[in-house]
Amino acid sequence: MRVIDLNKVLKKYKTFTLNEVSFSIEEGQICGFIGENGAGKSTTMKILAGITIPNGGEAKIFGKPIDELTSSERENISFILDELNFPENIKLFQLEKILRNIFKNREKDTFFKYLNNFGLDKSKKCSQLSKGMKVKLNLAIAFSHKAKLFILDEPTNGLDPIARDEILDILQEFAYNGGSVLISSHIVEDLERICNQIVFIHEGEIIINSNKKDLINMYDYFKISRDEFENLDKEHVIKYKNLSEDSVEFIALSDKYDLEGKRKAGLSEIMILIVRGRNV
Amino acid sequence: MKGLLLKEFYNIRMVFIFYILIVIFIAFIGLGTDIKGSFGEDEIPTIEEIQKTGILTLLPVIFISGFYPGNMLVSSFGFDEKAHWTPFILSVGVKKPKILLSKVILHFFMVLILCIPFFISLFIVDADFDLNIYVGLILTFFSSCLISGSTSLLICIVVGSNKGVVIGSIISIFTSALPLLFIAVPLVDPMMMSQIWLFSLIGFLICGVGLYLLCYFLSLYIFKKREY
Repeated sequence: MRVIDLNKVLKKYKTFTLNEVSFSIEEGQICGFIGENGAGKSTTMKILAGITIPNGGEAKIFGKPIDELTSSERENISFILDELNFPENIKLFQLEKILRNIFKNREKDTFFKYLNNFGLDKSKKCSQLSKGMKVKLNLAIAFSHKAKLFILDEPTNGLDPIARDEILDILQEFAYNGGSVLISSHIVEDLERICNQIVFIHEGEIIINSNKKDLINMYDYFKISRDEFENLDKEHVIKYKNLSEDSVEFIALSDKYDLEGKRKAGLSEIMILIVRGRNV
Repeated sequence: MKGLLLKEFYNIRMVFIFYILIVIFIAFIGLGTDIKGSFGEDEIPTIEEIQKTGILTLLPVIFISGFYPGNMLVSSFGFDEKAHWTPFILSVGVKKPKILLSKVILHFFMVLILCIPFFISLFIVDADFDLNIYVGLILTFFSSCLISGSTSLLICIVVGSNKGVVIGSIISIFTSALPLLFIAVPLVDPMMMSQIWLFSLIGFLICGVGLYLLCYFLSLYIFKKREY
């Protein structure tokens, strides 16, 4: 079953257009949504959250257009949008009370369990939390109502590696139990670790929508000298970039070149070379 | 709705308590003055006689009483904007009319509650007013709170809370001065305390409520169109 289904979604701003974005996510999948700042990730997520209205196309969650989702259906979705969303002079236990009266299927004990796990004091005000703690609070809230879908915009930004690792484990377990996740992050290594699917957006257009394994198997990465590169038959080179006066990095279709230092391209290398690399 | 009201309450609770304390503090300063001063039926009091009544001590209370509730809605929007609360709450399926209604309901009840310390402070200072004047002042206070609150709300929705705070504060200063005008008329000329004065108060109240409703619906219309 498709939990998210975007079909030619269009959103026009004065200086930016989200141009007919289409992709879908199946149940139990973790989809990494990558792209540089301003590529359209947050706009896409806001459309999914129903707080930005597209100018065209169709966006569905659980098979229903977003504006037709009932309140109880929306409770099956947990959103983390780009920043902390809670008034600063409210204490965490008060926040729990507020949210309990907004969500019907909220689990008080689960929330406090996560607060405890993340080392957050429930008597603290939101304003007293550090950036990393705010991220953890966002996650504790997202994890503590019985959601079937997480839509997370940069959820691990500002977290130390240990906390990040913990969050990634929780997301993996969630997906293992049938939940689905759409997650954007600049920490591509995190996505590489947990995602099954990668959607890459650039200047408002989807340029890669692929299974992660297929994507990584699709490209080889090379770092060679300029002389070597210039003597190379470049038929299968996708993009290249000058690293220094005498070295070049490039990605090429898999198994087309047998050069020294050949390895599978990582997500960040694919992303950087596709966005910033040169065509042959 | 309960969750939204609770959030609004937690959000402005401290400011609200602070306000009540200020009112009580100023009213108690009024206690220290000669509160038994009164004017003859047909006399125009001198400045010294007015000072003796302690009414001048009351003026800041009246002013703050009008100013604070006017700014309450703008402050609430400011807190929300700073915290990115609105996009979050919209993403969980809460509708925009509910968000706005929760603010307006809480504002309305806060204004009603604020009438109590305002009324008490009038009694503490006690300038030997007629009961009609007390009622009139409360109605004026109530109306000016509604006018400043609703116009500030509309401005805040149109221009955002940052600019809204400044413009809303200016409006609140003017509207919170309105009760001062009404208090000044019978003080300076007790004979003016007539039915015309009362009718104008009732008219002011109707204007306050009418403007409140008009601003609410206009704000709702604009708020519904806003995207995040």
